[in-house]
Order: sequence, then C-alpha cells, then structure tokens
Amino acid sequence: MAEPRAQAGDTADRELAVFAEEAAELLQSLEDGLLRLERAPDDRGELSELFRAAHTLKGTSAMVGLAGMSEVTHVMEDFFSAVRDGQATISSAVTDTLLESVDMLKEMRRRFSVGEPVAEPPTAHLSLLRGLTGGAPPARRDAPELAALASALEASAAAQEVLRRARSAGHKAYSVCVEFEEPPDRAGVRCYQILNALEESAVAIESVPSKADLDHGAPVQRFAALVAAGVGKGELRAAVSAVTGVRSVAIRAWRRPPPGEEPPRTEFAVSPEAQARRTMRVDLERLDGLMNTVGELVVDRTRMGELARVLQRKYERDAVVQELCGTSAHLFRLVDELNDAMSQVRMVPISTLFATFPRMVRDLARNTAKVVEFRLEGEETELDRGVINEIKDAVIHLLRNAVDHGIEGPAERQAAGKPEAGTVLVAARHEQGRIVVSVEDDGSGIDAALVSARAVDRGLVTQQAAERMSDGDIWDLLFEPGFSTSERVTETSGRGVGMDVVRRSVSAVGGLVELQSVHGSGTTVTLRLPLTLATFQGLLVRVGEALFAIPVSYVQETAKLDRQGVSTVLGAEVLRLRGGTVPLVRMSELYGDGGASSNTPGGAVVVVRAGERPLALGVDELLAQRDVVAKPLQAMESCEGIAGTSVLGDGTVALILDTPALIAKVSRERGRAAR
Amino acid sequence: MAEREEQGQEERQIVVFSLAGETCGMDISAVREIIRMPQVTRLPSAPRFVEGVANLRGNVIPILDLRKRLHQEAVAPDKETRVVVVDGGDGDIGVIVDAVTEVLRIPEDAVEGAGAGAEGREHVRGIVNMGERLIVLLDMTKVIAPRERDEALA
Repeated sequence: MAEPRAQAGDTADRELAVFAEEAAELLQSLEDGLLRLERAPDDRGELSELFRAAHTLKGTSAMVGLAGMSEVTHVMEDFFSAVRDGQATISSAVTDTLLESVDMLKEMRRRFSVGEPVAEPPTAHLSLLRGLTGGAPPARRDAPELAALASALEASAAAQEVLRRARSAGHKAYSVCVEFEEPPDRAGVRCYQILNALEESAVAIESVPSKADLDHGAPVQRFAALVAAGVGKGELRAAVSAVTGVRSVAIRAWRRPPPGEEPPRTEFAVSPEAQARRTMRVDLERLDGLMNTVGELVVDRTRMGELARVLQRKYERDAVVQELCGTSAHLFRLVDELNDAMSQVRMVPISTLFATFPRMVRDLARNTAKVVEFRLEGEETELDRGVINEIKDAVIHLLRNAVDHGIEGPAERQAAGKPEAGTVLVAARHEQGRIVVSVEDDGSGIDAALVSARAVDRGLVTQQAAERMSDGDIWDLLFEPGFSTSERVTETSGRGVGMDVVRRSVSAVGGLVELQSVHGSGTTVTLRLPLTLATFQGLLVRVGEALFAIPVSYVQETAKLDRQGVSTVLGAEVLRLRGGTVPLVRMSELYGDGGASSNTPGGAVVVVRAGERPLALGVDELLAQRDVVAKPLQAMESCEGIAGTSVLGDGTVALILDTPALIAKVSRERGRAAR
Repeated sequence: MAEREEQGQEERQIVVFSLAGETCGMDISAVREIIRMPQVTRLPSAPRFVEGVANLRGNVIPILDLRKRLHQEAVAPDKETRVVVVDGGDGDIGVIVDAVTEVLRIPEDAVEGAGAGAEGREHVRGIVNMGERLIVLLDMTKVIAPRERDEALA
C-alpha cells in the first residue's frame, strides 16, 4: 500500500512541482523553436513564440528564486528582441550557443525539481550569450529581481493592500536589491538579517526569494525586497550595509512597471491566461497508480463473473444469489466503462515522444559530419502513454541507427549519385485500428548477402537454409539476440545494433516490427502497435502445468488437434489446414519439461500469425479468452520467448507468449522447408 | 543478547540465514521483506537457478534458488524455507534460502575480508567473525547480477 500523502502541508511543494513541469514544457518549446528558427531565420511568428517562452520562464523562475535561470532567460529574451529589431541575426553558431543555454536551463530545472542545489550559470557562458546581442547595452543586473518582485506583488492581494495602506500613510515604496559576497556563506541567514534590519525602519512587503523559500534553505546569491518606509534611501542603505557578507546594495524608488523592465511591445504581447481552465495537470505516478488499480479491477470482475455463474448454477432459485448475479453483471459493465474511460485519459499525442528528436538528429548529424534532412509526420497521432513509454527507447534506437549507420557522409552520397543531404523520416499514423510508427532513411541500406553469410558464420542458420532464405527471412535474422552484438555487421551493413531489444519491447506491448531494406538506397523499420496497453484480450492455454496467454491479436484460429491433420515434412511436423500446410510446434517441447504431455489426447492447436507467416502451436488445453493485464518481467532483462507476465483472477501467474519472436525462430529453424 | 555498543563504533545489521549447512548473512539494507515460499510459475528458457516467477501482491517478481545459484545441491522446499525479497535495482527479486534465523547487529570491524571475491567466491563480501561462529556475508548485488557473466563461470 502506498503511504497516504499529506494533503495540506505540501501546497508549496505542489506549486514548485507545477513550476518545474511548466518550465520543462517552456524549455522544450524553446528548443523546438530554436531548431525551427535555425532553418527559417525570417519566421517572425517563431521568433515571437521564442520571445514569449523566454519571457514567461524569466518571470516564473524568478518567482521561485531561481535567479540564475531568470538571468539566462532574460539575456535570451534580449537577444530575441535584438533579432526582431534587426540588430542580431540567427546562424548555426548562434543556435549552438542558445541550445547550450537551453541545456544549461534544463539541468537547472532538473536539479531544482529533485531538490539538488542549483549552480549559477557560468559567467563565461553568460557573456558569450550577451555577446550574441551585439552592441546592445547590458541588462541591468537587478532587472530579474525587480521583475520577480513585481510578479510576486501582483500575485498577492495582501501585499498590494499593505503597499496601498503604507502609501496612503505617506510612506514611500522602495526596492532593495542585495548582492552577496561569493561564495555566499549562510546567505539565507543573511537575508533574514537584512529583512530584520530593514524592518527597524520600514515594512517589508515582498521579497525574492520569499521567506517561505528561505525557510526551505534555497541557496541564495542575490536577494531583493520590496519595502515601504517613512525614511529615505540613505538610512535603508546604511541598515542593509551593516549586515556582513553584503557586497553591494541597490535601492530604487518602486514604480510599476519597474525600471529596466520594458513592457513587451504589442508584437510580442504576452497573452494573459484569461480563459477558465478546462484541463488540469495530474501527477503521472497517480495516473499510473489509478490505471493499475483499474487493471486489477478488470481481472477481478472477470473472476467474480465466473464465480457468480457457478453460484447461479448451484442455487438457481435463491433470490440472494440472483441479486448477486445481477449486481455482478452491472459491476461488469461499470468496470468496462471505467476501463475504456481510463484508456481515453491515457491517450496522448505521439509528439510527446517525438519532441526530442529534432535536436537529437541535429546533434548526431553535426557530430558525424553528415547532412541530414529530418522530417516528422503525424505527430498529432494519439496513443496510450504506456505504449509510448514502452517503445520510447526502441524508436530512439532506430533513429540513432538511421543517422549513425544508415545515412552516408556527404562525399559518399555524392559519389553514389544521391543528394548530399540524407533524409530521415519518422512518421506515425493510424492503420486498421493500430498505430504504425516508421523510421525511414535513404541511406546505404543493408546487404542481405552479407547478413546471411554472417548468420552462417555465427551458426544461427545452416548454409543450406541460408540459401533458401527470402529477404524477409534474412531481415528477421537482424532481430536475433546473437546477431545484434556483431560489430562487423554494424560497420559494414549499418544495422543490427540491439535490434533484438527493439523487437522485445515492441512484442511486450503486443506489437510487431518489420524491416525492409534495399542495399544502396535505404532502410525502413515499421512498428505496428496497439492503441492501448491497459488490457488486451489474451487466449489462455495450458501447457503441462504452465499457463500461457497468447494475445488474440496474433491468433488466427483454434482447432482440435487430431492425428489426421498432422503430417511430417522433412522431419518437421506440419498442420494441414484447408488444403495448405502450416508449421506445427508442440509448445510442450519448446517450453515444457519435455514430458509426456505432448501427445495428450484432447490437445488443441492455436494458429497464430505475425505478418505473413502463420504457425500452429500445439497446446494441451484451450482455457478461455480473457482480458489480460500485462506486467513486465521485472529485473529479468531477457527470457527468450516470453514477452511478459500477467496475474490471473485467482492470483496465478500466466506467461505472455512472445509470439513474433517464436514465429521468427521456428521459421528460421525450418528455413522454407515447411511452406 | 549481550549487545556491546562501543563509542563511535560503526555497526551494520545483517539478516542471518542458513543455506546448505552454512550460516550466511546479507546486509539488511538490501532486504525488502521475507516471505514464505509462494506459488512459483516456472519460466521456460531461464537460467537453471531461476526457479520461476511469483505473484507478490500484484507484482510479478523472479524467484532465484540461492542453492542452485551458488552451485549447491537443490532441495525441495519445506516449512522452514523462506524467500528473501531483495531490491534488484530494476525491481524486486526473491531469493530462496533454507531458513531465516535472525537479524544481527554487528560491529563493522567484525567483517573480515577473508577470501572475499576470490576465485569461486565471487559472491562473498566477507566473513563475519562472531567468536564461536562464522557467518558468510554475501554480496547480494553480485548474487543477483546479470546472469551472462556468471553463466560462463558455471
């Protein structure tokens, strides 16, 4: 059981969490925008989006006391203004520096969100960043603090009231900005000392960082306060300067908007968040917890339905049992609805996965001195967040392969009569109730002859079998565990690194992976994924004592297993099916103890299909078709032929068959003999 | 239970269990919980020492047989048999031991490095010398390490 969380005390924490999340989004849009602007430097709309993102981040980061982040975004904001005014231009070198800033900000955000101390941005980088703006005057040092004070004041009605009363009593408002000696020694304590010193002759209205943040022990380099006082600047300065560790004090009369903080021009107007909120943010962990609970409910309601039916047969005329059955049926429908609703909630656009790709491809291409035209399609396609999580690494892996090994260097491409820039396309689309994600490149492709030669070398297939293999069979070899580690194939053919991992993670969600390649002109890897991961329909079968769940998406048909239907071709069993034959495998031989169960009368066959190849699986018993909740096989990185596990209603564990891997294995072992 | 607390003496707690006639221990920080032998589903094509998987309150965790893992003769579980659930980094892992006897508080300097990590004793972190008895302190991260390397040794 999870520990109940404190509900009241963590309001501040929650606000910080909201900041961290918003900052992550803003940083991502900064990065995306920068990459787009690099390609289209004259795009005013893009520029204004960038300005807006930097501006927002500047304000919010100052509010949570991240002066360093506020400072960097401030300089970025200045730069975007300068570009707009024609005083600076966008280039690849400039983009590099700005992206570096974004990386730095991301790291600050990460540290902030996990509660690690946040380092100040290096001065060298800041001056480099400032240098981009060219001759523009350096921003006032205390501008971010002043902006933060203004935001804090705006956010607090109480503070505004204090300020209004102080003013009507003839007091004046001042901003007091303090910079500490480096390194700040117990700066939090110093901030309190400064506030105390000020409050001897003034009323402190707001401070940055706020008292609450100081109590949290946030590291402080600079401190600013808004005070109302009946005395002059001189007296305030004297009071503050008396505190040890203070390097400089800047005191200004308070005006709104504060000096140094030009209101953004209309072109860059920051749109107010005026509309009422129709959505809310939910911690993903909570969502996952909810989804797990619903998953368990689905399993239990199935079990409960079964028990209710048993009771009904036994006590047909008992009114209580009748009522129980009625309630159970109703519950069944409700849980179904809940499950569907849950799946809907978990649908997110695949752009959440694609977001990091443009940057990744850009950096990869620059590192390997390649020219890559990168395109994304179908980013708005929605699928289950769980599916996205499962396949994330696989897709990144494929993309890396495409750029690293697929696309050739510019010279090589020219020599081959191709355009200098290679094209990599990542696309997502709906297709027959599934999501198809493909990674396509127009690079060097894979040499099928080399792959099969290599497979023979490594003893994966015999020379004879290799000669009979179709291209499709050969590409399947690339997904074999033994194959993937081979460096030579990687270098020469440009593929094969960790493709087994790709297939495993795709199978784990009940999906398929296909590879097509033409030597010399490119490779396409296609993932076919289910829309949702929450639950899937599984056919439960018994093999010896073990229970297996076969995702019904792979099941073509089931039949009784009788002697007459089975023949032997080249020493391997096949099932005769409507005039054709399908390779037959006894699961007890593959997975069981190899015991006597293989010839049990009353056995059944399940004909499965992945892609074009059917396979008949001999099992001891067909049990039922059920909603199955997949659980990953924890802490076991590989177990051949098993894609995951599932807990059944009565608590027993069923193994989810890695159907595509099994089909590929059998097909390889038998070559094309059985067709 | 004469527990001596010396000034400034670092202590550690270990879970003491018996395995194939020896007294062994593991650091308590790695241990999540200790359970009775659950129903185990065999996992085909898993390494020999992987007994299978079990349902631990809705989570499916792998179960290792420590006897087989350390190349001892396997025995059928009895009522003393326990599964020590340890944090495997990627998720929890259950480890079958003959019996769990106690949790001991030991001074840090009672751990001697004798034979630790030597050939054939890769899983031993040290020997705890408690005067009249010796406890073999196992390094659980090595015990449950990815199997490829150890398969080669087996």
